[in-house]
Amino acid sequence: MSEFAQFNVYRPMIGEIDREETKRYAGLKSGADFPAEIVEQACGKIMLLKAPAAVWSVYAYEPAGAIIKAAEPYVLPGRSLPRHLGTSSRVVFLAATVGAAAEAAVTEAFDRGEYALALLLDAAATAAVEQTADALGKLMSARFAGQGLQMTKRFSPGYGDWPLTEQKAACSLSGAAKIGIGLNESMMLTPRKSITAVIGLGCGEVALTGQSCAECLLTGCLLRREGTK
Amino acid sequence: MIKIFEGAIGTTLQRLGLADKPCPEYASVTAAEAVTEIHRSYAAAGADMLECNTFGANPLKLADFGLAGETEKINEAGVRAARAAATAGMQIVGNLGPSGRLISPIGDLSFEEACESYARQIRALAAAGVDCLLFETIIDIQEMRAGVLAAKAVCNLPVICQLTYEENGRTVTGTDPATAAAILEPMGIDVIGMNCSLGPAQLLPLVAALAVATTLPVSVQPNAGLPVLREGRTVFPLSPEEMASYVERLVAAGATIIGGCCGTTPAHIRAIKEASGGLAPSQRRPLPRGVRLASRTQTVWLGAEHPTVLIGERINPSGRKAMAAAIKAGDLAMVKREAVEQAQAGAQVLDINMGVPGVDQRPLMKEVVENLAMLVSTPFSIDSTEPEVIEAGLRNFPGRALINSVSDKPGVKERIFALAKKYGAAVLVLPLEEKGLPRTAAERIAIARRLVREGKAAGLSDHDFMLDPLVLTAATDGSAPQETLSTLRCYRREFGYPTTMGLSNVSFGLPGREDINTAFYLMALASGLDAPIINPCSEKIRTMTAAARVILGTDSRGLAYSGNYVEKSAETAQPLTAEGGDVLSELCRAVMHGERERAASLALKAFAQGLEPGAITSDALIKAMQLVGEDFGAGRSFLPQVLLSAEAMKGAFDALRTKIKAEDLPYAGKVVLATVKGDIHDLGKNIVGALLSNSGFAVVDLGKDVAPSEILTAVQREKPDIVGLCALMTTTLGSMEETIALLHREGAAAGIMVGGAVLTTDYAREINADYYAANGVEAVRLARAAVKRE
Repeated sequence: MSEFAQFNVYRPMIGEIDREETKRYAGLKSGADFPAEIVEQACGKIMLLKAPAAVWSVYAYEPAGAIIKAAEPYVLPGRSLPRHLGTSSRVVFLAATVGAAAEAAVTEAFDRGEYALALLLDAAATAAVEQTADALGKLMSARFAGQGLQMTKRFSPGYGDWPLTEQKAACSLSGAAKIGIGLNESMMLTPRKSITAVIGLGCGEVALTGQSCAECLLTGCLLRREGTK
Repeated sequence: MIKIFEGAIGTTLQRLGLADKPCPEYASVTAAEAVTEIHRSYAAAGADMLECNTFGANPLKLADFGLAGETEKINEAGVRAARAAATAGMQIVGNLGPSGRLISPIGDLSFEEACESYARQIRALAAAGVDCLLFETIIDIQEMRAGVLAAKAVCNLPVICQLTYEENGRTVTGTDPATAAAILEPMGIDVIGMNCSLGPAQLLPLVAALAVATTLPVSVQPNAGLPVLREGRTVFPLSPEEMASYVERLVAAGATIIGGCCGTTPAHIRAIKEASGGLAPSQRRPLPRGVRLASRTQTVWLGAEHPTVLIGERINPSGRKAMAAAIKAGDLAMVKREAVEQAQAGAQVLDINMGVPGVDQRPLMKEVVENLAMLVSTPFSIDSTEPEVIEAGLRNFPGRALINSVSDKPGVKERIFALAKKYGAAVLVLPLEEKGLPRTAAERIAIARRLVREGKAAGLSDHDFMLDPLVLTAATDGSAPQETLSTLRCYRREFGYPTTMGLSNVSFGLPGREDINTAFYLMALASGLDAPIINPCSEKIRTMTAAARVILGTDSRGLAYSGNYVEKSAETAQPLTAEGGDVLSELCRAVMHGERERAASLALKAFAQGLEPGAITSDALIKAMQLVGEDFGAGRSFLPQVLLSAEAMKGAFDALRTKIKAEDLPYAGKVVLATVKGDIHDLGKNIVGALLSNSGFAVVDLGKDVAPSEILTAVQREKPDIVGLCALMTTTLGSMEETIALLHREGAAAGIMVGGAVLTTDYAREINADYYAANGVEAVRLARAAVKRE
């Protein structure tokens, strides 16, 4: 039974670019002495340039064989993703982007010699794409909570042992092309400020723990949340 | 009397194994008796209103099961199954759920498709004889608007509208109950409420918030609590008695129709029915006086009892050549910027006028309204003289807009009143008539009176009118400003409706227009102006409005006004770089603090004092970058701060370059930089390049996605000290390795430095790189050390 049309598009309204996340993506720790007006300028500019869009599709999932029951069944490679999805009975494949105009602004600022602004613009665009995917997550959770379904966190190609090369499957299962997301030969998404991911849905003992900074091996990462060991 | 809906049907169908053949609604066709039996159990439990099994029976949703063609049959069967269970006095409710798709621009379903889908289902329900329509579990106000418009277009049945709210008190797409009421009540619906998603405890405060924002009956159908997991299964935990214990409170909060959603059973409905026996509907308060406008996410009240509202005037191409040209070329960037800037400056409503000569305004108005509604959360005022353009704006605006404006023009005014009624918009009355300009307040009042009377005859209410006193030019008619102010006073006395006007006409032809406008503005506020159409970005208007609110008593004791001053003094108290010391240490500090202009002027000052460029560079600029680098390495400062310092250093370098030849500046070495083949990220590489060139390196940047052969050619040509390669993703590390192998094979003499998010020291060694730089600062340090070693 399919409850949803394939490749539903969602363009959330994003009222504000998240300032705190923008600063975090730019590598500014809390309390850093940095001109607020550059953060404001970057968030204001991305606010105007962003074209947030997300697309998703729901598939039945068979945990035992780690099989996504798409028209052409997709067997999940590796162990991380099946572990992440736990006993989910369904999965959502999603893609989100903020469009290409945002990244052009980064390059322009850099070329003008406004390095810090360029970095903040890049970070604000990252925050915007995360906010877009989060908004879709909220929409999903609202739809599925009524059915008592729990959602896992997002899991993207490149997390754990789910190889980046699976970006191709994630794109086609989510319908990424429908919102203008493409893939180059190195499995990079275009526009650059785009993501794909999968979310598990199920009742019962769905694994609710997800990828978090605490579990990540890149301990030197600039983006590691403060307070994470 | 409190009326009772029936409870969940879908869960029972699921239990009976009838929910997926292929969808719950089809059970009315294939297992009509089973469906009727469910209705009977609810009827026996005391339900007054039976909800047909037609929740998902709209053609868009049915299409997922290949059943769109059977829309009429499925709805008819659903109504028949309910009718068979009904006893005298019970109402049959045509149930309408969401289409499962979101409406553009939020989703990819067009508003018109949504309307058509609902219209088809409603026609079938009406033909089958339902007593009223119930839209429920709707999460997007635009989908609800589509449903209500469809219902009004095809039948005269009463309409109940129930949205679904989250725990934050808003629908997923951001609408709160009061705003839903502001939008839907003027569209002529009959009952407003909420269902699903939350339990009675969570819905109680939302029912209360809704009831004070509407004069309509309020309905509520909670889930049986928030779902919990028990023994691996999802259950809705509230027992019938627990659920019924909320009934008295729900009624006290304003609900008069109560039912249940997910997890409720006939036993729950029976308990609710029993708990509601003998309860009287609570006394409801009338709405405040005034007019409310709404966007998808907020309500704005206008009127004498509310604070002054600024209506932003700047989205108007008349007299603005650049904006008109951009709009004509299809470029909305300027319009968007004006919207955001005005909203940030404090405009609570935005006027939208698309009067560009030679442009079809209808599709343009639709596009602009859709775009701006995604960008700002203020309601809009749709400003046009043409009913078709006004309708394009109203139809696609997910809120309640103001029509700007209606005047006494036969043939047009009737259409505008009809649009206001249909879309639930407010309307701005402009006292103009065809026979000539009314000069006196008395003439204007007479016209306004006539228009208000006609508007009411067309179905509008006291909550739907705003009045414009008409502003004429003081330079050509000395009494014009006084007549306007007098009209405002008369409006307040006779109608009490909120007033609005554009100010700037008054000063036309006079010098120092802003002063005239401001004086006029303040006097108009004193005479009863509630919502000026104005440039909110004007500093004078902003400060005067804040001050006037104190005088008018709408900013009680000047609290908000004082708040502005606190923020301001905090803004001006920014720390500046300490003065003093010699010019080089001052310059060093300026670079460290990222003060670009100051660094440039200090560099010139140092040069003017006769200091050598080499000394200025090494003792101030490079020293500053080294100190910044140390702070960065120690975690005392962060990349954006390093980049600000780099900008300041570049400012100083650029200033020095105007005085001396490039070769007199220190030269640290040469670097060829590239992001490797297949990789399209370049910000990191650009940062490294900027930091290197500011440290005296000559940087040849080959860009991103650069093939190994191209890098080799550049290295052979440039003979750099260092080749810097960047790769961001695991998928392009192979390309990096390949490049290094090629450089080694061809005997390139440069040291190879690699960096990028996924690289590590070990991996760098493995692919035979000479240096691994974890960040830009480290890259500079390594490059310096490498050149020294040579």
